[in-house]
Amino acid sequence: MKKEEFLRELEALLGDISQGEREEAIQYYRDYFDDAGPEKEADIIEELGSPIRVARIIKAGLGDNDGEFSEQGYRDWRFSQEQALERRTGEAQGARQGQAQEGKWQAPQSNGWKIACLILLCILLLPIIFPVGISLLAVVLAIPAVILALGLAIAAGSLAILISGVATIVTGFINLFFVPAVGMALVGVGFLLLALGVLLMLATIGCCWKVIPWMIRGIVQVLSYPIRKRREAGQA
Amino acid sequence: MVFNTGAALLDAIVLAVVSKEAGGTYGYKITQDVRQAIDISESTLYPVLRRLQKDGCLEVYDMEFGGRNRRYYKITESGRAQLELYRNEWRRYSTKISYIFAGE
Repeated sequence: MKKEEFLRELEALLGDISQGEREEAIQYYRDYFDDAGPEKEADIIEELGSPIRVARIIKAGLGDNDGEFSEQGYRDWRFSQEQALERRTGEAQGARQGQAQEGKWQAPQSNGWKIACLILLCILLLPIIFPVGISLLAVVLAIPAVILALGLAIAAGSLAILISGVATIVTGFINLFFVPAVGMALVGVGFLLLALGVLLMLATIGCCWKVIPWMIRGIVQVLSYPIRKRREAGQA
Repeated sequence: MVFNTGAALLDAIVLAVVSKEAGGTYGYKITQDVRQAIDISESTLYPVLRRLQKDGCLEVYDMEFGGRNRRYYKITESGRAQLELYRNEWRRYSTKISYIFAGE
């Protein structure tokens, strides 16, 4: 499309506004093309889009032309624009004409709707959410319980080994006086058992020292996850 | 641009750009000058200029240039007053925003 063609179409499209306004607008765009120079003609036409678009923007700027730009028509125009910039001009225009208020009170209403839908969904899904949630919680709590039980078993085992070690040593000492060889063997085994028991006990204590705080931290973190997430979302 | 330029700010920028040219300036040049600050499309400015003209902030006159009549825009006294108002508002606004941005 050439400049002359563009201006001719624009003029035709502005047929329903006053002659003064039409001449004013055509003069502006003719000047614009002339001042930009012929080499930029194609660029400008491309950026302006169609004469229809430019005509709409010109008419939107004329506040007195409310025949065509009734609220509905105006809004249609505003939302059909692809470019954010035109929308911006449209919003400014809308605010000037007192139409922006309508957009404002629509926003909280739709928000309320969303919340209501969410609550309804929660109620409907309650039979599913509740058992699933409870079982998840049970699993989360069961894991540390199992670990704790395992730790207790190992501790008890090491204690048993310690006691049996002591008992074996005592038996060995007694036997030392009757059958020295057997007594010595028993004392040796008893000391071995004692060493094993002490080692296990130390390992268990060490583990508990590290594992229990870690476990508590883990549980706290898992339980506080929803709260933390909400707080982060609030900050963002 | 991340930040939207509202109608008042756009008016203020246009008035400031036009006021810089004592002898008046024309549509294409105004668009280029405004574009140094904000990203506007070529079709945005005509309604703004027309409205500022109707509000009495700008006046137009035609002058011969290169064998044709070119339309010039010039700021009026009430346009200057309006621009001064915008300048003060902007100072207050931008100072407060900058303070909030800089403050820890």
